[in-house]
Amino acid sequence: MKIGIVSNFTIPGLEGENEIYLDRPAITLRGLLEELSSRSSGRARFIHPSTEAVDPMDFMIDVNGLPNQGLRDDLDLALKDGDVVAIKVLLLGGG
Amino acid sequence: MKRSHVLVAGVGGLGSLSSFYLTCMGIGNLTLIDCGTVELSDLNRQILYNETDLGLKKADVAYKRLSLLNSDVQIDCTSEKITSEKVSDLMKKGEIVIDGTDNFETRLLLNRACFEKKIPYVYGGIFGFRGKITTFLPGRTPCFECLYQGQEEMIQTVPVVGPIPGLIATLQVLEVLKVILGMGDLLAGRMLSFDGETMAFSYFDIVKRPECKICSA
Repeated sequence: MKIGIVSNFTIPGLEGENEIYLDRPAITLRGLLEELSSRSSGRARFIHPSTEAVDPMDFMIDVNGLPNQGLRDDLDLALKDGDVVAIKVLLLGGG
Repeated sequence: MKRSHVLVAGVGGLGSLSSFYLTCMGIGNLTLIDCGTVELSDLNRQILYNETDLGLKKADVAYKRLSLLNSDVQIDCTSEKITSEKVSDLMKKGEIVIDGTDNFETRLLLNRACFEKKIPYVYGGIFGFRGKITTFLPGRTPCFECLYQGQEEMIQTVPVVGPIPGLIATLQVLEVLKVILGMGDLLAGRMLSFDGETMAFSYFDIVKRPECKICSA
């Protein structure tokens, strides 16, 4: 299956690519984020180890244009072939 | 360094420490901009102020303290708010802007003005145990607007662990120093993110947004 990837940074291991090919018929959002981390040799980590969720201070995620909070349950979302996942690194507002 | 002019936008958690180091280092000219007053909740991180300063204008207190540190540094201060009408005038003298603001709105104004004037903008942002920094070089790197996702300020008072602005501001000063001296590797096109809970530093190679209304117009 093929998943489109949109990002505002270069994901290590996915340089110059805007899609990822997976040798499996199904994957969850969590599985995809773990796969991306794995292909980056650990340089990109999207799921925080202590919360098992995407940290809202780090990334904004959406799937096919729909926001995903990246909480533990949200990451169980099943992805389909051709889905597009956006992963945006966030700025912080405090000073 | 004596000929350089750095503008510190916001003299709070980030700006009080960056202006402190810039003054100690002997930067030639420093302009401080902050429209706020010192509050008790600032004192966990804003090292230029103390309990006797509560209610006083930060720009005035900062000017007084920094002037005592190094009399060779020419320091200007203003308590004006950075607005779309005033930002260009306020930035007239600066050759580099170091970000010490506490909201996205002001940063968007600074970003636009820096891009128009073609001057480097050293961004720093903090929240809780987190800090991020990158250096925007107009025409060479993505800009603040490229990365801004339209997120609103999540809460009125941002929780900040005291040492986090200390760390990020220190790194901002290093960036300024390298810009001035034309040496080393800048965080240009790279964002450094620090997580104080796990002590992890991460780097992101940031990319321009093709539809950015500032740098891709």
